[in-house]
Amino acid sequence: MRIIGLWAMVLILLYALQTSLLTFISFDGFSANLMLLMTVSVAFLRGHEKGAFFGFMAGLLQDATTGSYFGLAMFSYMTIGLIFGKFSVNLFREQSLLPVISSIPALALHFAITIAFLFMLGREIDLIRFWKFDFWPTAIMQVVLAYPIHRLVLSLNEFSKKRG
Amino acid sequence: MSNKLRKEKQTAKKIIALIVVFISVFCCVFFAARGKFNTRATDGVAMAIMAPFQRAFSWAGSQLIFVRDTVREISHLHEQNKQLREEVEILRAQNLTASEYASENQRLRNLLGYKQTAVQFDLVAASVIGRESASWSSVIVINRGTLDGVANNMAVVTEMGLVGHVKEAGVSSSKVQLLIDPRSSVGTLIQRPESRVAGIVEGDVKNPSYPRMVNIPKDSDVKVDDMVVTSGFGGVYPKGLVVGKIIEMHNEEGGLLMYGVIDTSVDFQKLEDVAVIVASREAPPEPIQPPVQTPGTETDPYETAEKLQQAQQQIQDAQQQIQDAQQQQLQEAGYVVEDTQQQADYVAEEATR
Repeated sequence: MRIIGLWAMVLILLYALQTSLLTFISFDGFSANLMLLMTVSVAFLRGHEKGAFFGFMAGLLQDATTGSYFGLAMFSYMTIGLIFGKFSVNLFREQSLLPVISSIPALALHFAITIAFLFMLGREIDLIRFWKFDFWPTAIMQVVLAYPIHRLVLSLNEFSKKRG
Repeated sequence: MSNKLRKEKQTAKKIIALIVVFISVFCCVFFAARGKFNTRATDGVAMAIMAPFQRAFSWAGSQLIFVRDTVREISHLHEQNKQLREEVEILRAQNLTASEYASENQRLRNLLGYKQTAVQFDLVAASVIGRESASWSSVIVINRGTLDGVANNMAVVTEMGLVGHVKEAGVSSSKVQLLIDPRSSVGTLIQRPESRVAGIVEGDVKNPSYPRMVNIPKDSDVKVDDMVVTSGFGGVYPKGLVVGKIIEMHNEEGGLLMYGVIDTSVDFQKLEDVAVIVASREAPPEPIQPPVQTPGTETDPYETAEKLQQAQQQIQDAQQQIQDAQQQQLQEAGYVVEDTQQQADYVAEEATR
């Protein structure tokens, strides 16, 4: 129970950090998506089931606080947790470079899911502009912050294993 | 075998649960987007949990931004300070130049004023371009020469008074021997009408700043504060140029004569612009001013003069008529040959008289 509380606390703190402090150091108006980075790291470390569950919780937090469409972030992060968790089976889970490299395809998948939902909901999106001005600035921030986030999740995972 | 079966069953259950969850969330998005799914309570709870953390991070962020802005501001101020220093230097240089121009303008205005006042002189304005190093305060060089009409022995003045005379006129520059030069001697007299004592002003070797007026008879009427002007004797200096003021009177060694120490009206240490008198003539008479009129009986002098002129014209016309009548009578009586040129001229002369 304490372990779950610790994970929840870290999740809340990181999301508060993402929505407050990181906005001050945004790159061209876009800041890093720490929830996505955490989901990917958890998926790599704990497999697809835990990854999907963590993605669900992170998405729920985001949708409940700042999300425009309830369920959108949930669905996206859950999918990413599931997929990246499946890929992690044959990889060294503690390899630090992996989440850094994975941060860009994870972001691309997140944006693809979001755009698909927006299209389905009848929203018009300029894909070229989205690619140029939304994707790349965020991707740079993701790459920069992927390693420290992964280290944090790794430490938490180790701690959970010891206590659990 | 049963374990494997149980595992497969569990996996199938998980997959089904996962699919259900995915479909639920998928549907949830659409319902929420169309307003058919209300999550206000969840949102409220989540936001209440998040708010303190967000506030704390936001405060930290604002502090960081404040620090960043301060650093940026300091950097900007440093750059701005550098630019302003450069600007101040440029403006100071410009100010100095402007002050120099203003000073020159004032001097030239004064000289122009003098030129307009001293109508009896033809003046050529000149600037001092050098001083002889051997006797720096006694000879100066001006930027006018024979090409400008300057010649030897021409008087040099400022609006304040006499400076000296041209010693050597070059083509485009000239040397001017100052009044205070020991070799210089200027014929002068006391300006005061009751005095008008003549003397010679010479430079004093011992006291170069204060020339002396020598050859003053002991019993002559010369006092301290008397103004000394040129007498016009000798032909170099025109009459009436201000030389200075007597500040001290002393007896000569012989005992028969006195000399006066003169404070020159021109400050020879600040000579920058001068004027050379290239020609001088008698000063035109002052315009006649109407006399002071008794109060209550004032008349307009111009109107009176006009009336007098009219009366004079009427008298002339009447004289002409009388002459014509006399001429006619003489002709009728047969005493005079008719209309000779001589007679006409004679009559005209008489009428003029």
